[in-house]
Amino acid sequence: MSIKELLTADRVIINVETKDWEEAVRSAGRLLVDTGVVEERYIEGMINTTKELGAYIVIAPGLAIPHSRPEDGVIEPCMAVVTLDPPISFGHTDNDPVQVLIAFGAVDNKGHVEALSQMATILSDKENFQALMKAKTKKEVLDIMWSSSCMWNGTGKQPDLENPDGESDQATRHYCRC
Amino acid sequence: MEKAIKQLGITADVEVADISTARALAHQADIILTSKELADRLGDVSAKIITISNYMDLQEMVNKLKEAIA
Repeated sequence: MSIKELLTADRVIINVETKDWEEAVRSAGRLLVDTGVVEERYIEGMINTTKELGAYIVIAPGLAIPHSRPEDGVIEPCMAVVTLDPPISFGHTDNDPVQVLIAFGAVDNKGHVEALSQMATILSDKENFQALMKAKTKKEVLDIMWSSSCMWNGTGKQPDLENPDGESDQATRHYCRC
Repeated sequence: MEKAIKQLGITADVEVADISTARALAHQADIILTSKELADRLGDVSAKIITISNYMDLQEMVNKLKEAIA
């Protein structure tokens, strides 16, 4: 499953105004519910996990990755991106305020952990990360996230880097080392 | 993480785990990298715990790992 399938264009919204972090997480969860890839209860799952374990989901300055467990209602592996304007505090000592949320759902625990490392691979590229933080349009977000062929199929299986999505290589594609 | 290990020129077996798995595996590990928020949840472990603030910052990981193995 390619990142284009996980993060479809209808799972991105830009410049959302929210009153607090909970509402921000809800708006990301809403994209996943509305596109039929998680059940409604997954949203509460994401909020409860964040409340329970604290702001650990803010993994880098300005970036939060809300998620919950596969058994909290994931229908298929998925990802959604919400950018916030203005940025919102999540209560993280170093990485607040949050500008971008990348919510995801995995279908098993291995896929869940794999999802985290895939995302890290895309965004540990400083240029990608900075561009995502500055993105002002949906197209910009998709260009960044889709530029990587780094894939995660939601089951913890290694992606087929030789033939990532059945298409020929594009000049702009950079391969990850996962 | 793997990039950081490569940069330090060391070899390591890396296991990525969620918090409950990490707790179960903690006794087998020399070093555990985690967030400040999750470190307390690990409980009493003999492994050295490194807390990472920015997971996208290779330099932070390299520096903290270097300190831990020094």
